[in-house]
Amino acid sequence: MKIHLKSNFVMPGVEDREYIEFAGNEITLRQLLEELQRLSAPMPIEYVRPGARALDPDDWEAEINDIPYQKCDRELETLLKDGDTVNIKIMSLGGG
Amino acid sequence: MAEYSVVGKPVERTDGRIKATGAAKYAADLIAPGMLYGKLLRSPLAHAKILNIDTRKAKALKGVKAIVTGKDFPGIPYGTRPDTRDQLPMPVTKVHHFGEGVVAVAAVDEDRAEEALDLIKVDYEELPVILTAEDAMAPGAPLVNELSKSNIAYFSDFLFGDIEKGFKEADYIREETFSSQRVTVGFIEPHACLAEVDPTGRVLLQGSKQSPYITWRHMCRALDIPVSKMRIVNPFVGGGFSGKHDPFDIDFATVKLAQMTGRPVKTVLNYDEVLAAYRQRNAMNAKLKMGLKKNGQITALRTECVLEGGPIAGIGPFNIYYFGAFQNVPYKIPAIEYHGKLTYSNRAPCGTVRGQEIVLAQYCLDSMLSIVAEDLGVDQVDIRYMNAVTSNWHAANGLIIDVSGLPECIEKCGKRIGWKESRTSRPKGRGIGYSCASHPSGVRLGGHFGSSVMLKLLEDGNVVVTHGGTEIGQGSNTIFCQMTAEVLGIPFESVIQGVSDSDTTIFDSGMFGDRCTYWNGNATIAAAKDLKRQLAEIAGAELKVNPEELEFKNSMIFHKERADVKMDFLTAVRRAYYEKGSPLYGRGYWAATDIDIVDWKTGRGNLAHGLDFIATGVMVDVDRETGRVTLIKGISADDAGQPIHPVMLDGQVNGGSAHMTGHALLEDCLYDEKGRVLNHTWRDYKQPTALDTPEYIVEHVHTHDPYGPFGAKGAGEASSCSSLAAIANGIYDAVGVRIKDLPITPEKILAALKKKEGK
Repeated sequence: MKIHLKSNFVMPGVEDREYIEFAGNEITLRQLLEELQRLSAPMPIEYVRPGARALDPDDWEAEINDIPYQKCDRELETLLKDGDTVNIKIMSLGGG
Repeated sequence: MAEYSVVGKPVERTDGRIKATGAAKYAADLIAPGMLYGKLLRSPLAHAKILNIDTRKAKALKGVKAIVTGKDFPGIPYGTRPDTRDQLPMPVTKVHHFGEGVVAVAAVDEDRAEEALDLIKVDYEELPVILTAEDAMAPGAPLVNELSKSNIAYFSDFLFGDIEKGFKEADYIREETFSSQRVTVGFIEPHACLAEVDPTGRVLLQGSKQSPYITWRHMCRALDIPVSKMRIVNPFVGGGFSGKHDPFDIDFATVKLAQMTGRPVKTVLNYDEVLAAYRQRNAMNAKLKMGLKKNGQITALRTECVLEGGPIAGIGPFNIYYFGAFQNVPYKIPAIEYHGKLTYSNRAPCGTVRGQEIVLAQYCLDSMLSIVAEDLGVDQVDIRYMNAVTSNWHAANGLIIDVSGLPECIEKCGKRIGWKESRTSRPKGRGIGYSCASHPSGVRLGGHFGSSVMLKLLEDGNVVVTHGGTEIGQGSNTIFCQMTAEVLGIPFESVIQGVSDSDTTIFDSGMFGDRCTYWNGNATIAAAKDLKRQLAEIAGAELKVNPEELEFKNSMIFHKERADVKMDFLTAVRRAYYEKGSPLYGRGYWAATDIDIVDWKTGRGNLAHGLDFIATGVMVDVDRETGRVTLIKGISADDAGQPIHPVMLDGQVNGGSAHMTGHALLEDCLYDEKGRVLNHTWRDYKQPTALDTPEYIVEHVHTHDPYGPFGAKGAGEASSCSSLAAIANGIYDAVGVRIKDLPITPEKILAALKKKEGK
């Protein structure tokens, strides 16, 4: 299955990719984010804290097909379908 | 133009007298019962493994109460962005720069703490040192930051418009390189803080902080405590200029020492420590390629920028972003290609300095514009006027400029400095340099980025303002009191500034990027309107009129059309408290939700409202015998929308100009080949004094920003962005040599003059 990726930052590990492919036809948003974390090694980016029920809103926002993940039925456990688009936005805290 | 009673008037600063008389209490002045004193042992090396830390002798010293190292923290990295979290509170496995705090001690007095530092033995194994961006990017270079896989901490590649078409349409193309040095931030008050822990374990931190919310969140993360377990209160702050956003080793160590001892701990740095080991501006190497029509109209710009930023990314990604995205102003450039890189190094960690890296971008851009204007035979003022952005301009990256007074600023500045007259007659060695700049009034980062204000109306009719912004000397407290008084129709003296305290204030995301006046100002107006509405309901009921038909002026509430239907402001307040028992609070919040959240990947979008503009002209004399540069006069014509406090606005504009005088001519953080700082004292580090600054004149171009509070825009940073190029261009105009690597020292000028004269 193919999941299209959008972001407002360059995502380490998938810098030049517009989508990633997975074997099988089921993956949750959490699993996608964990996979993105794995791909970002050797300096892994923690999208979801282990065991967390939600993304830290001070760090990340995520949308599935333009819908905030919190509004999707199962939030982080929402099942993604082939061809879905996940948009991950980085939140920053700081300025100069 | 609207007539105001308080806004636009030079009222006395709310903090003026207490600061001028020395009564204001800064972090270093704070005292708590049973307080201990903290000190940090610093690394003598710029890059080394920490093999062992022996604190036994120090611990045995009478009066020493606790010792902290990096291993005492949970090991959770923190940083500005979740993808660049590369900092730990204190080093664990290796030191990254000269002066990094390695061990902290709390003792009963400062002497005892100092003595304890002498008894601590740290064994290091030296590592190769990375000093420049070139070193950092060299194949096989040792990694600077153990939490990163590369010495490139961040990069951006932006493309706005059709760059190929832009260069194809150009009649003239020129390439140049520019560089800039490391400079310190330049606030007066060194870092200091007092930490206390209450019996429940809740931390109270009072420090010299520019953006306490940033400090608060980052510290709680790295200490692995919820934000509710820390209270942060800001005392008076002696300047920030972007150097006091982050938590530092001093903050972490002081809190940890307080946690370990159960006693208040205060740590105060001396300025030698600040100059050696704390925030500086990035060193820069940039390459520009500009295409223009014969008449001077810019058709394309290609920029490569490499910033060297020390061992952390910090807010470096913002610096890279700002450098690239804001090349879309102040000039109309239809196509821009940008490549920016931030590298790690073993020099002091960088943050930024006033104006952020728009300062460096504008130095390059306006230096380049002067070079090509001369090549093309186009007048220096005319080329800027021709390319200046105008109102309702849509820039190549999608930035929309609602209101631009820049063309008028350019005209005013040119006239006031006598540009045209100087072309026919001027003393030998005298020149005039010109530059423009623009700065947004805060961009939208996402996450917590709104601003909020709370007003409490006291029973005596006075109002207490609390806001999440920070008064760091720029005068924000005063202008929020002005705005409150204006909306409520009461005297300025009836508005009091409250304390910045995380227990009572909804913190703002930070005091940076020219955003405070704009964002908090709008929140202040909203809060005052909320309070006004409540009072109008009370007065309307008693006066038997529609509350919406009431006006507030001269401490009276009266009907718009029937002057005899009125009530004293204080009477309405007392009706609320005495008869209804109703507290009167005004709540206001504001965020520019109709602009785009920063797109780090593309740099595109409508990134900000309230672009403020400036045109700067600097008259200089250059002594051909000594190379000495004397600044004679500086003219700033600025568009900051509606001035809220004209005298403080002048101060902001002139302050930015004076601040960058040092960057242009004097300042340079020098390192030896091992990365040790050579000039970390005020004796050796040269900052400008009043004797180095010229006569400054500010010409305001009044515009009305449709989103700004009372039409105001931000004001503190544009002049710093225009000053470097204006001085560099002035020196060229005076003696015909262009120094493209800052600072422009007498030695460089003399060398260039000799080369030019073939000596």
